[in-house]
Amino acid sequence: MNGKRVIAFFLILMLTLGISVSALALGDTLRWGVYSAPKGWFHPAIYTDMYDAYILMLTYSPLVIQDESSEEISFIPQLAESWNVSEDGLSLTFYLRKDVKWHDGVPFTADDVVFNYTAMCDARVNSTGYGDKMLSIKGAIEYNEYTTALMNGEAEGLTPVEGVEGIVKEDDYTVTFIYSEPYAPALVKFADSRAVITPKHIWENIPFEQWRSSPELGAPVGTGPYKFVKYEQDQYTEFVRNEDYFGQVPAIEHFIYKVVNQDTAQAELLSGDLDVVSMISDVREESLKVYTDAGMIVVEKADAGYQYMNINLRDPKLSDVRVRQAIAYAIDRQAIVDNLLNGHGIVLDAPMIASSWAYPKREEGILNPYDYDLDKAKELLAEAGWTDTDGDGFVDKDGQKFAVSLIFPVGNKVREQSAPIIAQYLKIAGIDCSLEAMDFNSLSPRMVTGTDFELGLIGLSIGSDPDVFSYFHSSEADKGNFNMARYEDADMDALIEASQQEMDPAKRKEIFYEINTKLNYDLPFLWLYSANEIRAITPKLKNYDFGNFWEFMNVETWHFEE
Amino acid sequence: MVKYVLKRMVVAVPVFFGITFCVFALVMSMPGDPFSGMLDPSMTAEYKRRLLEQYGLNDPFLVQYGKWLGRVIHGDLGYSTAYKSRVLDIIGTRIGNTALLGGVSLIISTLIGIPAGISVAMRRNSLLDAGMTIFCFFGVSVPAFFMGMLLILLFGMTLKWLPISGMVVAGANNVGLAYALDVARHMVMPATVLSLLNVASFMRYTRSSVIDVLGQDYIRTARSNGVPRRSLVSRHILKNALIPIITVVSLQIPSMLSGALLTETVFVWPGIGQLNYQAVLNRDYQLIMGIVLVLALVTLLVNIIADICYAIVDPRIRYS
Repeated sequence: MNGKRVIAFFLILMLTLGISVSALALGDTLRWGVYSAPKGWFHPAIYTDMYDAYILMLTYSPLVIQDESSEEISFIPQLAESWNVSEDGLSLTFYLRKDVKWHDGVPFTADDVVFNYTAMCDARVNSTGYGDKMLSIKGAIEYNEYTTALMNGEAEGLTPVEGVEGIVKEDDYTVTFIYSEPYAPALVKFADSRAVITPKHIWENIPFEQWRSSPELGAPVGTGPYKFVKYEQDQYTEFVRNEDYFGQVPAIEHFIYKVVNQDTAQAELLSGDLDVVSMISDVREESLKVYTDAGMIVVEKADAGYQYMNINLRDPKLSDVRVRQAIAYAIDRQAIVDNLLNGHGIVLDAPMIASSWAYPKREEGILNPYDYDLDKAKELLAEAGWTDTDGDGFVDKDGQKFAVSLIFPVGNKVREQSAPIIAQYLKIAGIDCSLEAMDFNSLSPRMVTGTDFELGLIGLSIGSDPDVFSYFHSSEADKGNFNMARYEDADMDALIEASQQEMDPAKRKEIFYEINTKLNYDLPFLWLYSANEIRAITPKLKNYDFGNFWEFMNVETWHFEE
Repeated sequence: MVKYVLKRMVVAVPVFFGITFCVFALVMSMPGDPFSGMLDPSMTAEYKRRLLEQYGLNDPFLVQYGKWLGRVIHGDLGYSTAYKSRVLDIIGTRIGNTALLGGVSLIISTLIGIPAGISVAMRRNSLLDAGMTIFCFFGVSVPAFFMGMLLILLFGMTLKWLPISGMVVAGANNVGLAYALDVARHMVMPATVLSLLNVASFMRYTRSSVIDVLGQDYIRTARSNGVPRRSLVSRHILKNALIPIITVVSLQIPSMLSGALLTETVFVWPGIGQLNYQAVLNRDYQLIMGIVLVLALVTLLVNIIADICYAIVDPRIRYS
């Protein structure tokens, strides 16, 4: 029989291929799986998503990283041995390590630091870090304007600006940053993946305009714990440990960043093809039980981000604060956390990380938790003039039914599931809520420009400093940025500005409590929940931990034990 | 014949431009742009405007299409905003992976599907025929995604015979024979999933086509003249039943190259299906257009080849 022979052939093929499995296994290798591939933009000024950031965190180092184990804000030295802030809060000096070498053997000096941050201000590089980190540094704006003119060929007649005035090399291992006015989040801005230092001796040879298309972009040379070896687009990225690392040399020799399928990553970890599965979003109990039943270890921690419902404050219905408060009372957010997240998350009362020093805790009783209260919701709607006069189950005003549309992006499973639940809660309260799902690139222009947008679900990961300027300052309302709610409030503006300039931690905390209290009342948007970050690892891997702001904060101490 | 082929190729040119124009219009009318997905508090509107300017995405639609066409005529498919490299290079590495997977599964499914189709047609209404019909329904109706997961559960997790995802063992950096073997191991499961569906459809088409031929008078005559079974199948039946089979197989080739998205996604196979999907999500216009262009060319080419094949297997078909 033909068929039998074919089946036999396949079985033999599978067996022979199966036997060769063990021969291909690697020795001292950590395989770290994540659902999305990096794009290959391995430069802090250019990358845009976290998958590239992971690679920067392995290969590069910043001056400092934040100590996430500490309640108060504190930092761990990296390329900077120590630092100090001047009395007046106007300058920040870093004293650099003298024993650091780039992966290609060239010594690291203050020139690299100056070059790195000057380039960040250069319009020809068009770095995303400029707006975030550099604006308050003296001379940054002047340098950016001058390089813009250079780029557009309009520099003739202008006085050349040779670098940024506020970035000063004191000696080969000392750099000072000078600010135009006291800037409280200064140090924290040097502690993330966008602030890592790149080598001057490599990037100075490439014209600024060509950084985005240079081959160097895909082959990072850094000072980090692992050296870049190879990038296979949409498959994996390979690293080898940096034997000259200035910190403790990593215990595991090879590191593989592997792209895995969300639905099969579990199988790969259980079959031993992976050692770590990052970003587990399926938090159903039975799904997590598969890991623990097979002897895998589930590591969980609160996330540095949250999901929220964006509200268009320019919409006449939603501009009334009572309506927004009614919406908050009408949605049982605790039930969403209990049922969709199985408790692997928390409800937020303010747009901040719940563990932050700037976030008033529940037991302090400062913030309104907006516990589910349908009567209160209806009462507030009635106060705002919305009652059900025609008996159709929906509230109305001046003959107009209260109807809104909720837009949400597909991709995040829990968020997708939460949309119809939220719509249902609103319907119960008498608001007719229709749903519209779309991909993120279709959704974001609607929210950003404010056209065709009333309510929308979106997620946010926030920096380690509680600064809320980009989200709630009125000057950001029409910039096409994160103040998509278009919240404009003079008191809030003053508070935010004060929070940026106050150098005393205790006083700064007070200001943030005030900010949060006001936001909690005004509800420019409705923060829903913060889902926990979950990783699963093989039990052979010891000392594993991850950071919210620096994923590989202790990668050098990870090791295998049988 | 040669004249006919040339004529077909000339006709293909306006069709080709029509396809690219329509797709270009559709792609550009999607909401968003390559940078609208990059929401980041540190990203200013000015930054995005500059990027759009840099990639010429602020130009009017017709200007953009004209520029794109101009480059294509010079053999330049443009530059991918997401991957920051040349579209031609990206497609080049990916189409090979897809062609390998698709080609292998096409060969397997042809080798199994067509003989199996003939053999069940010859034993019409037997137990084997009924069994195979059930198998075909199963093959056509089980989603590739589900089938892939089943195989992973069985061969990847329980038996641990085969690797679950990727194309090679990451970081093994094999070369030569070891590399080929590594790829082959990774290909077993995705190729099986892809083949299953095709085996089923090839078998159904072959079966009905052969049954059709079997009812013809000349077959009965040949049989009554004592033509041996083997030569009856190869010389009389197969040759006449081949036309619809060629149609089905040739329709499968372009869809093999473009449509293996689910299989490629489940097994993280770095092929063109996945690339195309990502390109759409990223609004990577030039890359989408590059992929469409390549696939349109393949489709047009395969159609012409199929027409030539018709004439070869059936001398009654003459093109003029």
